[in-house]
Amino acid sequence: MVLGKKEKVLMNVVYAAASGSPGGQCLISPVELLSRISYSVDFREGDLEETLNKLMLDNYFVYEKAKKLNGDLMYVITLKDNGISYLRDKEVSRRKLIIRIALTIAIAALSFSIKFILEAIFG
Amino acid sequence: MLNEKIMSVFDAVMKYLSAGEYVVVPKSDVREALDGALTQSEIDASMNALQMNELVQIRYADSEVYCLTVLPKGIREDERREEQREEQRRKEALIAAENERKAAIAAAEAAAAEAKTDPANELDADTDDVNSEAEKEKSVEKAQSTESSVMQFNYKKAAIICGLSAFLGAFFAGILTLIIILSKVG
Repeated sequence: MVLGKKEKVLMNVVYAAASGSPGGQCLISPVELLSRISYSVDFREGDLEETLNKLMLDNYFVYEKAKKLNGDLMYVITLKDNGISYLRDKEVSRRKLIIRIALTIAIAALSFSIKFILEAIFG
Repeated sequence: MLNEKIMSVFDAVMKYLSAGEYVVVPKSDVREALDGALTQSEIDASMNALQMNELVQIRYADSEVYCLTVLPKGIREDERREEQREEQRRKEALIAAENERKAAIAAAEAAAAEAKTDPANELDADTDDVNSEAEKEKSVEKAQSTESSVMQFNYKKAAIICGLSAFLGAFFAGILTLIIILSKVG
Protein backbone atom coordinates (compact mmCIF):
# COMPACT_ATOMS: atom_id res chain seq x y z
CA MET A 1 0.00 0.00 0.00
CA VAL A 2 1.32 3.41 -0.90
CA LEU A 3 1.31 5.69 2.12
CA GLY A 4 1.50 9.47 2.18
CA LYS A 5 4.30 11.28 4.03
CA LYS A 6 2.31 11.91 7.24
CA GLU A 7 0.99 8.37 7.24
CA LYS A 8 4.48 6.95 6.82
CA VAL A 9 5.86 9.06 9.65
CA LEU A 10 3.04 8.16 12.02
CA MET A 11 3.17 4.49 11.08
CA ASN A 12 6.91 4.45 11.85
CA VAL A 13 6.22 5.82 15.33
CA VAL A 14 3.32 3.43 16.00
CA TYR A 15 5.30 0.43 14.74
CA ALA A 16 8.29 1.32 16.93
CA ALA A 17 6.01 1.62 19.99
CA ALA A 18 3.86 -1.47 19.38
CA SER A 19 6.18 -4.02 17.76
CA GLY A 20 8.13 -4.51 21.00
CA SER A 21 5.24 -6.12 22.90
CA PRO A 22 4.16 -9.73 22.27
CA GLY A 23 0.59 -8.87 21.24
CA GLY A 24 1.65 -5.99 18.99
CA GLN A 25 -0.06 -3.57 21.38
CA CYS A 26 0.87 -0.29 22.97
CA LEU A 27 -0.73 2.26 25.27
CA ILE A 28 0.40 5.71 24.28
CA SER A 29 -0.76 9.28 24.73
CA PRO A 30 -1.33 11.71 21.83
CA VAL A 31 1.40 13.96 23.23
CA GLU A 32 3.90 11.11 23.19
CA LEU A 33 3.00 10.19 19.61
CA LEU A 34 3.49 13.78 18.47
CA SER A 35 6.74 14.16 20.40
CA ARG A 36 8.23 11.20 18.54
CA ILE A 37 7.56 12.79 15.12
CA SER A 38 10.47 14.83 13.85
CA TYR A 39 10.03 18.60 13.48
CA SER A 40 11.03 18.42 9.81
CA VAL A 41 7.58 16.98 9.07
CA ASP A 42 4.66 19.40 9.24
CA PHE A 43 2.43 17.29 11.49
CA ARG A 44 -0.18 19.12 13.56
CA GLU A 45 -2.24 17.93 16.50
CA GLY A 46 -5.38 18.06 14.37
CA ASP A 47 -3.82 15.71 11.80
CA LEU A 48 -3.29 12.99 14.37
CA GLU A 49 -6.74 11.41 14.53
CA GLU A 50 -7.34 11.84 10.81
CA THR A 51 -4.09 9.99 10.01
CA LEU A 52 -4.80 7.32 12.62
CA ASN A 53 -8.22 6.72 11.05
CA LYS A 54 -6.70 6.44 7.56
CA LEU A 55 -4.16 3.88 8.74
CA MET A 56 -6.91 2.00 10.56
CA LEU A 57 -8.98 1.85 7.37
CA ASP A 58 -5.95 0.45 5.52
CA ASN A 59 -5.82 -2.35 8.11
CA TYR A 60 -2.49 -1.39 9.68
CA PHE A 61 -3.89 -1.33 13.22
CA VAL A 62 -6.98 -0.71 15.31
CA TYR A 63 -7.05 1.85 18.05
CA GLU A 64 -9.34 2.61 20.98
CA LYS A 65 -9.50 5.71 23.12
CA ALA A 66 -9.08 5.27 26.84
CA LYS A 67 -9.05 7.62 29.80
CA LYS A 68 -6.55 7.72 32.62
CA LEU A 69 -7.84 8.26 36.15
CA ASN A 70 -6.88 11.95 35.94
CA GLY A 71 -8.91 12.31 32.72
CA ASP A 72 -6.00 12.34 30.22
CA LEU A 73 -6.65 10.72 26.86
CA MET A 74 -4.69 7.61 25.84
CA TYR A 75 -4.72 5.44 22.71
CA VAL A 76 -4.64 1.66 22.86
CA ILE A 77 -3.18 0.57 19.52
CA THR A 78 -3.15 -3.04 18.33
CA LEU A 79 -1.27 -3.88 15.14
CA LYS A 80 -3.14 -5.81 12.46
CA ASP A 81 -1.76 -7.88 9.54
CA ASN A 82 -0.49 -4.98 7.45
CA GLY A 83 0.97 -3.30 10.50
CA ILE A 84 2.82 -6.37 11.69
CA SER A 85 4.38 -6.82 8.25
CA TYR A 86 5.00 -3.07 7.83
CA LEU A 87 8.79 -3.22 8.25
CA ARG A 88 9.10 -6.30 6.06
CA ASP A 89 6.91 -4.66 3.39
CA LYS A 90 9.07 -1.54 3.57
CA GLU A 91 12.27 -3.54 2.97
CA VAL A 92 10.67 -5.51 0.16
CA SER A 93 9.45 -2.39 -1.59
CA ARG A 94 12.88 -0.73 -1.18
CA ARG A 95 14.55 -3.79 -2.70
CA LYS A 96 12.07 -3.77 -5.58
CA LEU A 97 12.76 -0.08 -6.15
CA ILE A 98 16.53 -0.66 -6.23
CA ILE A 99 16.12 -3.55 -8.66
CA ARG A 100 13.84 -1.44 -10.91
CA ILE A 101 16.29 1.45 -10.91
CA ALA A 102 19.23 -0.89 -11.65
CA LEU A 103 17.26 -2.53 -14.47
CA THR A 104 16.34 0.84 -15.91
CA ILE A 105 19.99 1.99 -15.85
CA ALA A 106 21.09 -1.30 -17.42
CA ILE A 107 18.51 -1.05 -20.23
CA ALA A 108 19.45 2.61 -20.82
CA ALA A 109 23.14 1.67 -20.97
CA LEU A 110 22.38 -1.24 -23.34
CA SER A 111 20.27 1.02 -25.59
CA PHE A 112 23.13 3.54 -25.67
CA SER A 113 25.74 0.89 -26.47
CA ILE A 114 23.71 -0.84 -29.26
CA LYS A 115 24.93 1.82 -31.70
CA PHE A 116 28.60 0.93 -30.98
CA ILE A 117 27.85 -2.81 -31.11
CA LEU A 118 26.20 -2.49 -34.53
CA GLU A 119 29.10 -0.35 -35.77
CA ALA A 120 31.52 -3.00 -34.56
CA ILE A 121 29.58 -5.81 -36.34
CA PHE A 122 28.85 -4.08 -39.65
CA GLY A 123 31.88 -1.76 -39.71
CA MET B 1 -19.50 -19.31 39.98
CA LEU B 2 -16.83 -16.82 40.98
CA ASN B 3 -15.38 -16.97 44.49
CA GLU B 4 -15.14 -14.11 47.00
CA LYS B 5 -11.48 -13.49 46.17
CA ILE B 6 -12.29 -12.79 42.54
CA MET B 7 -15.35 -10.70 43.43
CA SER B 8 -13.27 -8.61 45.85
CA VAL B 9 -11.02 -7.72 42.88
CA PHE B 10 -14.18 -6.92 40.88
CA ASP B 11 -15.40 -4.58 43.65
CA ALA B 12 -11.98 -2.93 43.79
CA VAL B 13 -11.84 -2.14 40.05
CA MET B 14 -15.51 -1.17 39.72
CA LYS B 15 -14.77 2.04 41.64
CA TYR B 16 -12.87 3.30 38.60
CA LEU B 17 -14.98 1.94 35.75
CA SER B 18 -18.00 3.24 33.89
CA ALA B 19 -19.95 1.73 31.04
CA GLY B 20 -18.96 2.46 27.46
CA GLU B 21 -15.44 3.74 28.01
CA TYR B 22 -12.04 2.24 28.57
CA VAL B 23 -10.17 3.34 31.67
CA VAL B 24 -6.46 2.97 32.41
CA VAL B 25 -6.17 1.65 35.98
CA PRO B 26 -2.73 1.34 37.60
CA LYS B 27 -2.10 -2.08 39.15
CA SER B 28 -0.76 -0.39 42.30
CA ASP B 29 -4.15 1.27 42.88
CA VAL B 30 -5.90 -2.11 42.69
CA ARG B 31 -3.41 -3.59 45.18
CA GLU B 32 -3.96 -0.67 47.55
CA ALA B 33 -7.73 -1.00 47.31
CA LEU B 34 -7.39 -4.66 48.37
CA ASP B 35 -5.13 -3.71 51.31
CA GLY B 36 -2.47 -6.15 50.14
CA ALA B 37 -4.78 -9.14 50.70
CA LEU B 38 -3.81 -10.60 47.30
CA THR B 39 -0.54 -10.86 45.40
CA GLN B 40 -0.18 -9.35 41.94
CA SER B 41 -0.34 -12.77 40.25
CA GLU B 42 -3.57 -13.58 42.13
CA ILE B 43 -5.02 -10.24 41.03
CA ASP B 44 -4.02 -10.93 37.39
CA ALA B 45 -5.60 -14.40 37.55
CA SER B 46 -8.79 -12.88 39.04
CA MET B 47 -8.92 -10.28 36.28
CA ASN B 48 -8.65 -13.04 33.66
CA ALA B 49 -11.46 -14.91 35.38
CA LEU B 50 -13.61 -11.76 35.35
CA GLN B 51 -12.90 -11.34 31.64
CA MET B 52 -13.76 -14.96 30.89
CA ASN B 53 -17.04 -14.53 32.72
CA GLU B 54 -17.80 -11.42 30.62
CA LEU B 55 -17.92 -9.03 33.55
CA VAL B 56 -15.09 -6.85 32.27
CA GLN B 57 -13.12 -6.57 29.04
CA ILE B 58 -9.38 -6.01 29.27
CA ARG B 59 -8.10 -4.19 26.21
CA TYR B 60 -4.48 -3.90 27.28
CA ALA B 61 -2.38 -5.04 30.20
CA ASP B 62 1.29 -4.72 31.02
CA SER B 63 3.37 -4.80 34.20
CA GLU B 64 1.99 -1.48 35.42
CA VAL B 65 -1.55 -0.87 34.20
CA TYR B 66 -4.78 -2.43 33.03
CA CYS B 67 -6.87 -0.78 30.33
CA LEU B 68 -10.37 -2.13 30.74
CA THR B 69 -14.07 -1.47 30.64
CA VAL B 70 -17.09 -2.97 32.36
CA LEU B 71 -19.53 -5.01 30.30
CA PRO B 72 -23.35 -4.97 30.75
CA LYS B 73 -23.23 -8.24 32.70
CA GLY B 74 -20.68 -6.64 35.05
CA ILE B 75 -22.91 -3.62 35.59
CA ARG B 76 -25.84 -5.89 36.52
CA GLU B 77 -23.64 -7.88 38.89
CA ASP B 78 -22.35 -4.69 40.53
CA GLU B 79 -25.92 -3.43 41.05
CA ARG B 80 -26.94 -6.76 42.54
CA ARG B 81 -24.02 -6.71 44.95
CA GLU B 82 -24.80 -3.10 45.94
CA GLU B 83 -28.40 -4.08 46.72
CA GLN B 84 -27.16 -6.97 48.85
CA ARG B 85 -24.84 -4.64 50.79
CA GLU B 86 -27.71 -2.16 51.32
CA GLU B 87 -29.96 -4.96 52.59
CA GLN B 88 -27.26 -6.08 55.00
CA ARG B 89 -26.81 -2.52 56.32
CA ARG B 90 -30.57 -2.19 56.87
CA LYS B 91 -30.71 -5.48 58.77
CA GLU B 92 -27.82 -4.44 60.99
CA ALA B 93 -29.51 -1.11 61.78
CA LEU B 94 -32.73 -2.92 62.78
CA ILE B 95 -30.81 -5.34 64.98
CA ALA B 96 -29.00 -2.45 66.68
CA ALA B 97 -32.31 -0.63 67.35
CA GLU B 98 -33.80 -3.82 68.77
CA ASN B 99 -30.80 -4.34 71.05
CA GLU B 100 -31.05 -0.76 72.26
CA ARG B 101 -34.73 -1.22 73.11
CA LYS B 102 -34.00 -4.43 75.02
CA ALA B 103 -31.15 -2.77 76.92
CA ALA B 104 -33.42 0.15 77.90
CA ILE B 105 -36.10 -2.24 79.20
CA ALA B 106 -33.53 -4.27 81.15
CA ALA B 107 -32.05 -1.12 82.70
CA ALA B 108 -35.50 0.10 83.79
CA GLU B 109 -36.32 -3.32 85.29
CA ALA B 110 -32.99 -3.44 87.14
CA ALA B 111 -33.57 0.04 88.59
CA ALA B 112 -37.08 -0.98 89.73
CA ALA B 113 -35.79 -4.19 91.31
CA GLU B 114 -33.03 -2.32 93.14
CA ALA B 115 -35.46 0.21 94.54
CA LYS B 116 -37.78 -2.59 95.77
CA THR B 117 -35.10 -4.63 97.61
CA ASP B 118 -33.48 -1.63 99.44
CA PRO B 119 -34.79 -1.58 103.17
CA ALA B 120 -33.75 2.02 103.98
CA ASN B 121 -36.04 3.32 101.27
CA GLU B 122 -39.09 1.18 102.21
CA LEU B 123 -41.27 4.22 102.95
CA ASP B 124 -40.56 5.67 99.52
CA ALA B 125 -40.94 2.26 97.88
CA ASP B 126 -44.46 3.02 96.61
CA THR B 127 -43.58 6.34 95.00
CA ASP B 128 -40.41 4.85 93.65
CA ASP B 129 -42.41 1.97 92.25
CA VAL B 130 -44.75 4.34 90.49
CA ASN B 131 -41.84 6.41 89.17
CA SER B 132 -39.95 3.37 87.97
CA GLU B 133 -43.09 2.02 86.29
CA ALA B 134 -43.54 5.33 84.54
CA GLU B 135 -39.89 5.35 83.50
CA LYS B 136 -40.13 1.80 82.29
CA GLU B 137 -43.19 2.63 80.22
CA LYS B 138 -41.49 5.73 78.84
CA SER B 139 -38.39 3.81 77.78
CA VAL B 140 -40.51 1.07 76.20
CA GLU B 141 -42.58 3.68 74.37
CA LYS B 142 -39.46 5.51 73.19
CA ALA B 143 -37.98 2.29 71.87
CA GLN B 144 -41.27 1.40 70.18
CA SER B 145 -41.63 4.85 68.64
CA THR B 146 -38.12 4.78 67.20
CA GLU B 147 -38.88 1.33 65.89
CA SER B 148 -42.18 2.44 64.38
CA SER B 149 -40.60 5.53 62.85
CA VAL B 150 -37.92 3.34 61.38
CA MET B 151 -40.45 0.70 60.29
CA GLN B 152 -43.79 2.31 59.24
CA PHE B 153 -45.26 5.06 57.16
CA ASN B 154 -48.76 6.06 58.44
CA TYR B 155 -50.87 5.33 55.36
CA LYS B 156 -54.19 5.98 57.19
CA LYS B 157 -53.19 9.52 58.14
CA ALA B 158 -51.94 10.25 54.67
CA ALA B 159 -55.20 8.98 53.14
CA ILE B 160 -57.33 11.14 55.49
CA ILE B 161 -55.29 14.25 54.69
CA CYS B 162 -55.53 13.63 50.91
CA GLY B 163 -59.35 13.04 51.11
CA LEU B 164 -59.95 16.12 53.22
CA SER B 165 -57.84 18.33 50.93
CA ALA B 166 -59.73 17.06 47.85
CA PHE B 167 -63.12 17.71 49.50
CA LEU B 168 -62.18 21.23 50.64
CA GLY B 169 -60.74 22.07 47.22
CA ALA B 170 -63.93 20.94 45.43
CA PHE B 171 -66.11 22.76 48.00
CA PHE B 172 -64.39 26.11 47.50
CA ALA B 173 -64.40 25.66 43.71
CA GLY B 174 -68.19 25.10 43.88
CA ILE B 175 -68.74 28.21 46.03
CA LEU B 176 -66.67 30.31 43.63
CA THR B 177 -68.62 29.04 40.61
CA LEU B 178 -71.93 29.84 42.37
CA ILE B 179 -70.80 33.38 43.15
CA ILE B 180 -69.75 33.96 39.52
CA ILE B 181 -73.07 32.60 38.16
CA LEU B 182 -75.13 34.68 40.62
CA SER B 183 -73.18 37.84 39.78
CA LYS B 184 -73.74 37.26 36.01
CA VAL B 185 -77.46 36.51 36.46
CA GLY B 186 -77.89 39.46 38.83
